[in-house]
Amino acid sequence: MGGLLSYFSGLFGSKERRILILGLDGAGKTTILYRLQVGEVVTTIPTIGFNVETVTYKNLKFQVWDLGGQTSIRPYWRCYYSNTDAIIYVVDSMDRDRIGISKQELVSMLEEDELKKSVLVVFANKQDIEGAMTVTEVANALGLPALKNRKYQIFKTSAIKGEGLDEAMEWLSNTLIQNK
Amino acid sequence: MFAKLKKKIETDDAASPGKIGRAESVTSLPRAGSTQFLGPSPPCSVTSENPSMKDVTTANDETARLLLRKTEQCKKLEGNISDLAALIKDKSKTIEKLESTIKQQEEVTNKKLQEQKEEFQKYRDKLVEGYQEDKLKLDQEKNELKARLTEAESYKTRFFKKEEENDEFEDLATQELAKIKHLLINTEQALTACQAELESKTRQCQAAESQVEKLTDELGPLRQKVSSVEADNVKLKEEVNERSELVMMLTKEKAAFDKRLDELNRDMTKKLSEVSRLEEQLSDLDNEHKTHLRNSDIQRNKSSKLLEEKDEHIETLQERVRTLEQRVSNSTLSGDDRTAALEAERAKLEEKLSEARQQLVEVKSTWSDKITHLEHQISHLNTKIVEDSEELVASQKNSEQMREKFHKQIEDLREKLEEAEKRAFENLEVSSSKDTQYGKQIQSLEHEVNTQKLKAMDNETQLRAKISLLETELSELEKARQAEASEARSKVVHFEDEAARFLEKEFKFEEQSRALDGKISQLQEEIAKKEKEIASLKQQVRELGSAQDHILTLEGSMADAEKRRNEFEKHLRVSESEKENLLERNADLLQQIQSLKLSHADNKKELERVIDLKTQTIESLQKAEVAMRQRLDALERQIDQNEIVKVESGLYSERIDEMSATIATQQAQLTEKNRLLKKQEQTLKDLRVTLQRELKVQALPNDEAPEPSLNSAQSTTTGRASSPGFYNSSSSSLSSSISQQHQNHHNIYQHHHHPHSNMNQSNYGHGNSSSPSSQSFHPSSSTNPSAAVLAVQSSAPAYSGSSTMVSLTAQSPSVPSGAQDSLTVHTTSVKRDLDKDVNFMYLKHVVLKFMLSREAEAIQLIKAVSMLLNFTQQEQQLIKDTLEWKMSWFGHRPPLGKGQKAKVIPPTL
Repeated sequence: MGGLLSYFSGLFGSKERRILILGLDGAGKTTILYRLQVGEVVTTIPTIGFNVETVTYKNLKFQVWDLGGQTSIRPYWRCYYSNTDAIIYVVDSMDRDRIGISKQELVSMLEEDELKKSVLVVFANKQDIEGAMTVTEVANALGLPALKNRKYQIFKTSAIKGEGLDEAMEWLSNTLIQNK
Repeated sequence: MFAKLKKKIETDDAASPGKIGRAESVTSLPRAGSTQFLGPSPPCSVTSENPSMKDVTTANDETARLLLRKTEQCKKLEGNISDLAALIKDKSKTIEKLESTIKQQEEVTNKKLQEQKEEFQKYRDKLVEGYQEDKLKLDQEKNELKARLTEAESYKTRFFKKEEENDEFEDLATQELAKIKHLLINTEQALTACQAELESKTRQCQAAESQVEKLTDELGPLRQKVSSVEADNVKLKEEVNERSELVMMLTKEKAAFDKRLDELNRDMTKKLSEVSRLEEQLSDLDNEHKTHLRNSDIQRNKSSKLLEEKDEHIETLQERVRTLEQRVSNSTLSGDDRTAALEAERAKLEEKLSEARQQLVEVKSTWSDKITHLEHQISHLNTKIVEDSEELVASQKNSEQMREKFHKQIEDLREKLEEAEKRAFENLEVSSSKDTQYGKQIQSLEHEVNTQKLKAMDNETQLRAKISLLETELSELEKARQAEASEARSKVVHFEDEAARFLEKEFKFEEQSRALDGKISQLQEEIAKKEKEIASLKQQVRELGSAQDHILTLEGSMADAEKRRNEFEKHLRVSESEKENLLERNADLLQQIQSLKLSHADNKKELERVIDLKTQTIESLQKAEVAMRQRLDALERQIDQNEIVKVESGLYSERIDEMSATIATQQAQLTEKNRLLKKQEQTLKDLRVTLQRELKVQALPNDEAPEPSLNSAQSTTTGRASSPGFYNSSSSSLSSSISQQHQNHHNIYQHHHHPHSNMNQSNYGHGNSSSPSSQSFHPSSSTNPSAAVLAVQSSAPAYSGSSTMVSLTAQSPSVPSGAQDSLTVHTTSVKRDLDKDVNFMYLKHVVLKFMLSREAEAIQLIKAVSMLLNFTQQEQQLIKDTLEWKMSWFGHRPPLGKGQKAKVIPPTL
């Protein structure tokens, strides 16, 4: 039955783009995922595991994987890297202490061979809070200017207020269409 | 816990001492039996066989010996058989004896029993003592554990303190970092400010220099400006002159225009009068023309009338000629014919008369028409005259209007003239004001120039002027002095020359006088000689007298010369005095010059001082610059230091990281210790339970169950091989299940550990660092039975090797004797621990999703699941193939093994 469905979906439906939402714990990945899917702010608990949702944007179907970002389960990210079209890397703009760890994780992630062709979108999240790092600060802290051979873009977002997500998804869908 | 236990035991002891006594007697029996059974009795047969079985080399000899023995024995036995037959009889006798002896032995046994009872009582006492010792040991253990607890708590508190300290350190470090950053920023700002100051100062210096240059440069342009302004002034004056000339011209023109206006007015009036005359003439001429036209018309009419009359007259005359010719012709004719001709004539004449009458009537009508026409014309003319008169009036009015217009125009022209005059005046005023302004400007500029000149050149010019004046004076004085000196010298020379001349003259005179003296003497001699010749010589004497006169005159001239000489000498003295005066003056002047020079030098010195000051200021500025540069260098050094400090802080952060790592490890250790503590507590509980059970079991007749708990040390020595003998199969399977669970657990942990080691991250060091600590706990497990349980439970998070696990599994059956309860407790505790573990939660989550999602989605999770469960590549591939087979419509099922190695449950259908 499942095979049948998947077969038909493979025949008729357009292929889904696989997107991973990564980032340290408490960056707001799950909130962003459900904001993208439902358009509402849902109450979340720390994700131990992952959440997968299908998000449709501009006739493009995205299978968005939100992977838990706690320290002990971060090593399992690499299990999900294959066939990934884009990575949404979420950074807590208020968390100045752990931006270094975030950078380390990002760098080690981008070194993976399976992610060589995937597009990178960085969300400088929690911009609604006063005193948050600016986009340029986040970009410099993550060492984004040093990136080569990588299509990337940084956006300032607020998952709570829903700011910046549309622009980011617009950019992402456009770049994915161009890449195709 | 133990206190309660003790109490319970004591109460139990107090309540049922007899029971315990019995129980202990019961429990003591099998052990004695076992010891007896295991100890002395079996070796007789076994040891005899064992050496023969084992030692092959010595076997031959032994067999030979044995053969010999056996043959001997056979012989003996053959002998014995007969003996035995006899003996049987004896034995039958002896049986009876033995029966009696048995009775005796029964008595002995009773005695022995009593003895054994006594022994047992002793043993019981010993046991009680052992128990007490055990209690003491337990108390000690308890105390030790308490001590450990306190230690752990202290460790905990210390750890918390350390944590707090670490936090504080971190805070301090962050604060320090922030401070350093601030300092850096401040220093950078100060640096930038210093640089800016430096730049500004250099700029100021440059600006000052440039200003000086500019001022010096500006002097030239200002002079040029002054010159240009003067030139402008000249130009403006010229312009003013031109304008005044223009004004003059304009006034002249105005006068000329006035004159011309008057003339034009006169001309106008003249022309107007002429126009009126000409108009009159024109009207006259028009009238004449009209009259002439009328006359000509009249004459034309008259002439035409006359011509018509003449034509008519000619016609009448021609007719008369014809009639007369007819008459002439008729006259030749007869009477009748005459009459007829006459009558015809008469008829013709009458016809002519009628025609004439008709003509007359026609003429009359035409004339009347003409008259009426003429009357019309007259009336028309009258009307025309009226119109003409009206036109005349209108033209007169027009002329008056024209006059008025002309007057107005004249007035306008006058007004324009006045305006032009005003404009001229205004221009004049403007030019005069401009003149004044320009003059003022010139004056101000000149003033400025003068002031600037004065300011700039004041001292120099004054000094120069003074110097020049003084120099000129000096030169003049020198010149005068020189001139005077030269004059004096020339005079002196002249005088000296004159003196020399006079001296020469004197010499000459003296020589002359000498010559004269000589002559006189000669003459006297001659006189003496020529006294005789006196007469003749009288004349000579006279001559001599004249000569004497001459001498006298000469002497007078000499005196004069001497006087003149004296005068000259006086003059010389005067001149010398003058010269001295001049020299004095010269000296004064020289002094003045020197003073001036001194003042000049002072001025120069002052200027030099000013220059020195300026150079000093420049130097000071340069020094300040140098100082600033030094400060810059110092700041750069500070920055370097700050960077070093940063680096150090980096080191510090590394240290912090290390500290945090150690904290993490310590935390892990703490958690483990907490777990251990909990487990110890649990084991204590278990012990208590077992104790209680034992106490309960003691009442039961079943003997074997409580034994290992009481004597666990023995079971550890006996090991696994002996364990099945003591336990039923269910308990052993349970224990194996425990061990499997542990192994699974261990596998999970090993697997969990795996990605960490793969990632090679220092942050996750607690796994590595904790293992030795857990291993350090192991030795205690071998000595302490309760610690063995600890080790079993601690081995799960400790990732210890498989060999230890084997030993643990070997020991595990020796753990709680009341297996079921303790096992459930144990598993629940494990579950509780697992529930808290993030990795287990993750595993659970992923596996659940893997199981619940469709094949197409689940295939994406194979990697994660296989990584979590540490699947091999083959297993991973197998799962993948199976899922793909499930998704596909056709294809083969991947091989999944058969029998024991089968990896799937065979289909039930």
